Amino acid sequence: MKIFKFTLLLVAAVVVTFGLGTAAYAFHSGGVAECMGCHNIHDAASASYLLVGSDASSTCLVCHGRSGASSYHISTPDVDMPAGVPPGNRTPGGDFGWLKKRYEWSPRSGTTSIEEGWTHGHNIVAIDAGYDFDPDNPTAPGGDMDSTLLSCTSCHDQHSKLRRTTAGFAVGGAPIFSSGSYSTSPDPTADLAVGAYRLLRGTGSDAGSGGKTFTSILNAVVTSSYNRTEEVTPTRVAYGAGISDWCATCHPDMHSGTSSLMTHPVNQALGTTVAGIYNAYAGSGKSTTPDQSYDSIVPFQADNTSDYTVLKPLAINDGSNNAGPATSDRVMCLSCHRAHATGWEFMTRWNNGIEMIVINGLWPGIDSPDLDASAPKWAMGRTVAETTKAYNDKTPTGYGTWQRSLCNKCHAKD
Amino acid sequence: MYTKSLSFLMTVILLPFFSAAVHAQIKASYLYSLSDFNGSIPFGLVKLTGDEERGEVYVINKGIVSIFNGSGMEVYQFGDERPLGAIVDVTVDQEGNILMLSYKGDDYSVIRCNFRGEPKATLKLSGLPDGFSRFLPRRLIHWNSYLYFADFFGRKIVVTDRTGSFVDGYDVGAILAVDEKPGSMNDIVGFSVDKDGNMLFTVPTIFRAFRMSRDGTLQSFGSPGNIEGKFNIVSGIASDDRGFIYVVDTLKSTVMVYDKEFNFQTQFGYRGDGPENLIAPRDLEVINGKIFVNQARRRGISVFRMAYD
Repeated sequence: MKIFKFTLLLVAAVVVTFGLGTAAYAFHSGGVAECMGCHNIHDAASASYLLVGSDASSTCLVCHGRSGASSYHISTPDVDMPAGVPPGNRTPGGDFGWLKKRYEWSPRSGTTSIEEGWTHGHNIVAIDAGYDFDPDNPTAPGGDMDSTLLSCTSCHDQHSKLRRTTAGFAVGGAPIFSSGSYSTSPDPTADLAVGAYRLLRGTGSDAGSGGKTFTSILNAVVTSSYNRTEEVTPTRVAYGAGISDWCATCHPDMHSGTSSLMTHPVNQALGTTVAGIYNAYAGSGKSTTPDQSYDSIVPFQADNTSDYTVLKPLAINDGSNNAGPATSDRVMCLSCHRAHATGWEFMTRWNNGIEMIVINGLWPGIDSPDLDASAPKWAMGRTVAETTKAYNDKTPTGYGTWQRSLCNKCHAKD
Repeated sequence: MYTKSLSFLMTVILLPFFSAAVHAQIKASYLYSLSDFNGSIPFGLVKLTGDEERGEVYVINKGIVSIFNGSGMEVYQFGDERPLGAIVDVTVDQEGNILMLSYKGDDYSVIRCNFRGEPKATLKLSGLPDGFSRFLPRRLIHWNSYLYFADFFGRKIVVTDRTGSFVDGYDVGAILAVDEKPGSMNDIVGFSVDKDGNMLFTVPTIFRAFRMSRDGTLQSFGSPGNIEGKFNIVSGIASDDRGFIYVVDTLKSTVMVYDKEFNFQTQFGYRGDGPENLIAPRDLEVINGKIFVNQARRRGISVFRMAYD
């Protein structure tokens, strides 16, 4: 009762307070954000573009790199990640903090294995936050983009002129009145548009940092609560048309449609065989039914649709739809990789560095009470907390007791 | 008509100069950066807390607590022992006991330690009402035998007595949610308690800072803009014995000073490579007239002294 009374008092107070002030709620709202949130127009010594951060990504991380796992946070600060403690965010794109997680272990006596943090994701340059360019790859793997130019704005359009209208995507036209990223986002109307998914660049969007021009649109929808534990129910992102073509802007030789190299197919229908395996496979030695076979660690693209009336209902986090793919659904880059960073080499969604990912029914870790699960070979320098967080807190119980690589979710070679 | 216009014009032109004269009464001077015997320590965006009575400042970096004396020298360090859990904040009570907010997974407790950081007792929060069942605090402040806990992401504040028993609770999220759009959530970022026990906090996404008294009275200040005193992306907030309120602006790389009526007084820092400059500061602590400010790019904790004419 006391709380209720206080809340009433507070609400009354805030109505008065805000009523006298300038309303400025939300930030990006699907389009260009509050100008004063990123630029310093008349004050102090400004850098280029009147940005106050040392570079574009440093400016983004002023807000998106704060402590704690909360909605829009995508980079855990160093101070929150001592040795053995994982980055805290569990967004579908992953936490850039993994780029700073270096692991060293001795798989067998007399040998040392080292996994550098920068192998875990896209190495954005954000000097203020301690992120630097990829020392291994002078250009984007499978492409020629200068990796020293990689920033948040290489992929995201900070001003986001790209919008979704009733007639499809366009740069310009009806004003953007809301985010278009969420299952709860409003639909565009004849007079009003919504923003592109995650303010991502797309066809017709100005080239971002790195000088690449996108020739496709990435269609997707996510539930509004997406930075969350997947311990009980998965965060199911509805991926639609254009995912892999969009990635191929910078990584053309990684895309089976644009590369002359031997590379895993992407943007191709799963077909009867692969869809059938996915729908039956739960883990090594474990089977499931098609209506319960969805695994957010190995997501797939919903056919090749850009129809948001189809995508929106698929974006859920309550476990109400665990159905696996239809034969027309597609494999995409994001079936195996996350977009920002992961706990594993080459920013894969699961550990591909060793043959077993679940040991004796447990996630491995150097501090595991289980003798097998704590073995250096399996733990690979991680604590149990780090391994668990790398799978967004998903429990290992759904997988095999000795689970092999999740390549088997589509290929079942185990 | 012409005379009126001229008067108005002169007022507009001269007002900033008179304002500047008022602001010049308070000035910040850079003193030093927190150091050990090897020189200044390249801290990044670490957590800061102060012990006003003893003039000491505590720095929490990757689970290790370092204590600095009034001259900015590190005098003690503890916290690398696993049994203490992940230390997310500390505060000091009247007797000089160190109270640590510590997590093991999602389970948290307050560990009361002696001045050496040796655990002596563990407190659990008790009597939390239903609305606070998922309360996960990240900030702990001791004030006048009360403990203030702030859950930035749950957007709730709880006040307990020194044993951890619930006294008051504030659902700040209910206030902020009034005008939020779906999918948008305005987090509390900075949090502190002033000399009268009022709670100060910032909400950068709406360009505002708040002062809330224990009876729930809420006041706010701030508006977006770049000129002195306006908010870009604000973060830490603190106050001193005189009632001045200090607000960190991460994007402007400044600390702004307001009086207790929220009138802007001065700002200092600014992005740059000089010792008096700041690079993307995030949080601050005010102890005995000194302002301790953390910042990005591992530039350490800069210490300023305020001079009041």
